[in-house]
Amino acid sequence: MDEELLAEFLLESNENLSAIEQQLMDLEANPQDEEILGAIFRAIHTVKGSCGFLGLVGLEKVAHAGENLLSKIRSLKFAMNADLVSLLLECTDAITSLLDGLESEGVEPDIDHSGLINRLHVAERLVATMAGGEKPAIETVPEDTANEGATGTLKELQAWAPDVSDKGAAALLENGWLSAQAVMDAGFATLKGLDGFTAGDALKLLGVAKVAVKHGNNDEKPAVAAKVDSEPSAEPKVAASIEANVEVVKKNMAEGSTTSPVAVKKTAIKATTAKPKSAGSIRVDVDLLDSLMNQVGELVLTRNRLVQMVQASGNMDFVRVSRDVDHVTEQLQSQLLRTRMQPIQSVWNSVPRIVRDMGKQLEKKITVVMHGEETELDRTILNALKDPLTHIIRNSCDHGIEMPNERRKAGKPAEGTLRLSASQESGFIVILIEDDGAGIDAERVKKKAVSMGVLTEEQGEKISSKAALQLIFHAGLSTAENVSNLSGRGVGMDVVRTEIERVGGNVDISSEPGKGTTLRIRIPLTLAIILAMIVRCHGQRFAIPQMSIQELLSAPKDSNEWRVIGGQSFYRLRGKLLPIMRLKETLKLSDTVEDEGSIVVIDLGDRNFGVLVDQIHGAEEIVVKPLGVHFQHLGFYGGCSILGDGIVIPIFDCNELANLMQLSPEVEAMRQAEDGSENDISRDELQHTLVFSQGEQRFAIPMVLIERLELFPAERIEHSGASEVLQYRDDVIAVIRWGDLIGHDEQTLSGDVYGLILSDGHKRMCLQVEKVEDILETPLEIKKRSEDPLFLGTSVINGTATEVIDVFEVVKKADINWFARTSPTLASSDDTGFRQKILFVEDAAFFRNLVMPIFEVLGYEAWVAKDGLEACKILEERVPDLILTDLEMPNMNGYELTDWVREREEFDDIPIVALTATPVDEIDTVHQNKFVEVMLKLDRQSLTKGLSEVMANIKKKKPLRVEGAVVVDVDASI
Amino acid sequence: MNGLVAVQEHAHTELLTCRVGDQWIGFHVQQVREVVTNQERTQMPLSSDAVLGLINLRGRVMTELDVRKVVGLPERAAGKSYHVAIIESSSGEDFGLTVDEVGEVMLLNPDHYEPTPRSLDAVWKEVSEGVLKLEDGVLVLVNVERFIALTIPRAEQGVSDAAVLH
Repeated sequence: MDEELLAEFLLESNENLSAIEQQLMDLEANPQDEEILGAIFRAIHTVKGSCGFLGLVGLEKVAHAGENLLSKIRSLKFAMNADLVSLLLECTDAITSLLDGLESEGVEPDIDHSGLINRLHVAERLVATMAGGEKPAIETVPEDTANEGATGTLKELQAWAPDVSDKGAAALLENGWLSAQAVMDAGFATLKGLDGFTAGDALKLLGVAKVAVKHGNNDEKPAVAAKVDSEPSAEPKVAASIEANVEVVKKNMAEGSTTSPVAVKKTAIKATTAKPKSAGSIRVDVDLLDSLMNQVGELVLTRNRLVQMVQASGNMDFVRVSRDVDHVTEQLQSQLLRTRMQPIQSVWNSVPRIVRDMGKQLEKKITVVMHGEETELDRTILNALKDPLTHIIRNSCDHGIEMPNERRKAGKPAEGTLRLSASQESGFIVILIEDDGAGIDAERVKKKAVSMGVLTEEQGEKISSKAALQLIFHAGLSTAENVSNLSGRGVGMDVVRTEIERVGGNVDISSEPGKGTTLRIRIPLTLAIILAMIVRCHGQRFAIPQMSIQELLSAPKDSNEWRVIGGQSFYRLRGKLLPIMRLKETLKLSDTVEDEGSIVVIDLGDRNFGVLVDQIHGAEEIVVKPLGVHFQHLGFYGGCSILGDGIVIPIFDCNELANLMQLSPEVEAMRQAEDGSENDISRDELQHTLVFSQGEQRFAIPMVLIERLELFPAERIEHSGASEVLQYRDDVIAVIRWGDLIGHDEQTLSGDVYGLILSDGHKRMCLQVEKVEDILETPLEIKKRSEDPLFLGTSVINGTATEVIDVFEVVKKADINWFARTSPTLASSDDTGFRQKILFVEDAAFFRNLVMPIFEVLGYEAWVAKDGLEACKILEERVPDLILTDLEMPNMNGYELTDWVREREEFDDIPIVALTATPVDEIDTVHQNKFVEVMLKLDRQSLTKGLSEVMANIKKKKPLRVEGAVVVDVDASI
Repeated sequence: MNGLVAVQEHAHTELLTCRVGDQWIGFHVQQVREVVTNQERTQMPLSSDAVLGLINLRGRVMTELDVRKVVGLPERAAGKSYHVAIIESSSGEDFGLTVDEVGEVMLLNPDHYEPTPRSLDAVWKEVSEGVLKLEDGVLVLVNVERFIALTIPRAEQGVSDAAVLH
């Protein structure tokens, strides 16, 4: 088998199938939506067509059965119901499992799906019957399973009469009465007289034969034969079991289960997003990407050293060259990082299915709403998130959302809502999982924690509701009254937390009894490169991941915020005592320790602490490297990195670091006694805010649009006309000086200057400010509104009046058109070629890739469209010599496209060739005449021959057109 | 496999000779990537005694282990020169082993080989695969895997005595 072709097939089939699951559930919610049904049908159709071509018999059978059922549903406009959806989901599952096996083994796995195929057949016939009078269809036998020889005929018999004795079978065989009909015809008297038959046997056999004949289950049903063959003991009476199946399906259908258990509403998902985009993509081994990533990591480090050395040399030529190297490296790094990114959708795709299945099992009604599924994350992190997410969702469905009648009693809609959202927030991804269920009673958690000895009674009384809720993540604390088999299979929320922390993230929970529960996961975009704060302690440098840092404090020795309780140092921060880890002492760097220096405040979600260091150098992007075997027992080292000067620096794992500091219960109690009243500000009100100063004034700017904080030499600001610009990454961006905006006198900048890089993902600008003071999470409470549109108003941050900037106004100052999206410009190219042009319309990338090389070989220029609509768009701009189109396509199929083209005179001389996957695909006579030819897309040879003949004919008929056409790359503009 | 069989099988084995204190030792040349002089080193607080710290060798971070510490010799006097043999272990991780002096590369002569003598210092015995009798004393053949295992905290989880001559 052609391996490349197979890989291509797998890639595409998996893409198609992942979409099907969702589409089936969408269909369940909107049973009459023909568009979705069409899309599902096409996907299965493509899979079937491709496996026929690749000789994957088992897969083809399953796909074929599914396709037949879908085709019947489609042609009879049969309303989809939950049972049909379940059956079709099972069919896609079967296909997926076969594909998985194929992918891992390289050959089609030997999985028996005859039972499923059988049920699909039954459902198909039922659909036909129920849709109106049509007799149960009797399928034609696919050639490959036609009966051959004696064993085949015996199988025939066993197919409908598995219980018949060997002797009896031999007798029937001798007389040639193998089909149920033949046995019926022979009659009771004759059968009774046969060797090996008692009267009872004959009666029994006739009964079975009758049922078999009634349901068209005679010897022409190969699927059943296969079933008997493979499951002799499991299904002793096939005819009877079919009967039962029919009854079950009938019953369900008759009940008209029109209300689907899970209606899946998706927001912000356009039909286009579901399209496979593999046309311009290749498969790359992830290991290769990982090793590339490592090497680029090395390059970044080498670059850092080079830049430092060159700057020290003062040679301007070197500086210029190294700036180029700097630039290219940066680009390389960021683009390589992007190759590892995948939309979170790839994990979320399974959510509606999970919720649907859970809903059905628990008899609850749950709607899933998803926002921001296009948010991209490093694939390693995505993979690690899969299990925790599934667990959280199961928990929400199981324990969170109440039974419909309970919900109604509580005055809530019977249908529960599970809301997933993902968004980017200053270098991190925040994922929220919210349900509108019963919520979690903090008091109950407290009681449980006390009863299990996690908290002392005293602690239990003092702990805040918010902190109590975080105890959910404590090992062995599950509040569900009885553990169901759906969630909590011995896995607690503590595992969820561990898993998330393992990829450098954190999770916390908030809940309002009766209203619902929200889990908030915050994770870094990527693991390979992290933003870290470089600190110095006793002459040695350490890196602390920015992820865990809440804020930085300067703590002079004589500050009266210091407290020592039971030997443990605390620092009073906004009225609360923060335990302080003296790094020098903890790491045994020095014997003499004083409470003085800078404090890095670490926020771990459920607890905070400060790390006292001598000095804070600043934030840097560092490449994380693993540590050797000698440090495995020192969990607080999360890894190491190499700094610009070539020196190795250890990176802390803050969760483990926290464990080095255990507060004794007495100290904890004393701290709580000293602690002022709880100021329980919910997280939603806290904003990441950057505080900077300009002259005497202090300003605060919310972090939402701040992509990065840069410290760079003032010389890097260049002049372009009247404005100032900065080369940043692969861009030139405008520099706005904050001093200018607020009307300070212009100053000459020198030395290193601070620049806030503002970005909304599309555009960037740099806001130059005088001095960055702090980055902190704070409630931005506006005390006094401002007249100046530049400001939102005045807030008090850390006791100082601070002007809060309206970042959107600032951005507008830089570029009035910032928020007006530019439309992508069409790439124009001078078309001077004399090549003949083919408009190739095909929705399946697999077939596109199969056919495209033929054009290349024949020297034609091909314009590719993924459906009729795209083809029309191209036709409106330029005229091909030939249109080659697939028939089954989304949005606008091949027939519709042909009608559209033929309605227009200007296209009269363009011949249209239809492409089909299988010879049996019938084309109606109306359209038959509109195609100059129908070609098989799977037969490369005849396709090549046919195409070149048609094209040669065209050439003869008319002179070649030479035109300056605009070439639109359809793939690129999507 | 005992040391002698291994040595005989590798009759053409070359050894890198190094001096630690007064003792000469030999590493199999195939296991030595290179020898470097003192590198800028990052100390790792709370790590075990044998660990000198981390060094950066052209972008590769590796753990530097002090042979003197492992065999119980006093710390090297500050400012005294030393060499770091970069060793490739079977686990794939590279280590730097600091020694006081690096001598020549010599061919292992099976005639001079003897199993580890009882009289050898206990610490050397643990990592020895046998000795070579030379004119001016004995040279200890060091089993690198066993040596490294000795330096790992809770060694029973590290490379065990299953390690054999490469």
